[in-house]
Amino acid sequence: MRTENEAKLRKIRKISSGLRAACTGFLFLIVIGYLMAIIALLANRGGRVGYFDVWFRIGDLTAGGRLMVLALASLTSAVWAWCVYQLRQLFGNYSHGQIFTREAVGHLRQMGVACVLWGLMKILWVGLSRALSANPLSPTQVSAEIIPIGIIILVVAWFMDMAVDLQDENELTV
Amino acid sequence: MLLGNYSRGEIFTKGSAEQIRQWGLACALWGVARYAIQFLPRVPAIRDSFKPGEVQGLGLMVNGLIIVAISWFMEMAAEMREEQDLIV
Repeated sequence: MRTENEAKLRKIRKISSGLRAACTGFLFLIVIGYLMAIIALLANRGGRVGYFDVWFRIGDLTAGGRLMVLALASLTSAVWAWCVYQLRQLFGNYSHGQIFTREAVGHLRQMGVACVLWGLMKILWVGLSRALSANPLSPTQVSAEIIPIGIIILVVAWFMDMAVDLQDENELTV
Repeated sequence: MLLGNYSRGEIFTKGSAEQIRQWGLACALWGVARYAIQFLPRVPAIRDSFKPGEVQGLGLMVNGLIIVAISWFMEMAAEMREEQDLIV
């Protein structure tokens, strides 16, 4: 292999390993944030909890309201964690030089789905804040641009999947 | 442009990776614009549509930067592949 390609491969491995470590750190933060939200909601000793700039004063919530916030917080944290995990796996593949492979494209597709779900979670949070009666801390608008971004990622991943199929078939042709 | 490349079967190429990078940059700039627009206090329609403390556009910026990062890897890999295809 030429030395320029070797240098590029080393650079790819170094940067993707660094980004993978950043994703691991972010995953850790998501878990910590989620645990803090659970403790705050279950302890019910005041304070605020929220996601996507939608905040609830815990003292103003009924038991049912706290349960709904807890359920949505669990779902949202799961979606976040899944999205970041797929990104982490993608950078993991890149660190092994596996860039245009079926596995990498699979992770990209999962990320696209996670982005769409992320956008839906945003909408649900704003909906919940309006449903739990006149929350003065709720945002005035919902911005869910991540949904079309997720759909575009899914479309791109689909094309790449087809290309990987063709690539694999070509390699089998003698 | 990207879908144009795909219609010609140019999927894992430098050109397609570059288009993805441009898209990522556009998303990041969109996020920056959303963030900056809330600092226009003299425009009541804009000022009144934001609550204090809302961080507008941060998600878009981060998404855009992630797309740019992924496209960088694709571009490097496409370059290496094209160079190897030239080797006899």
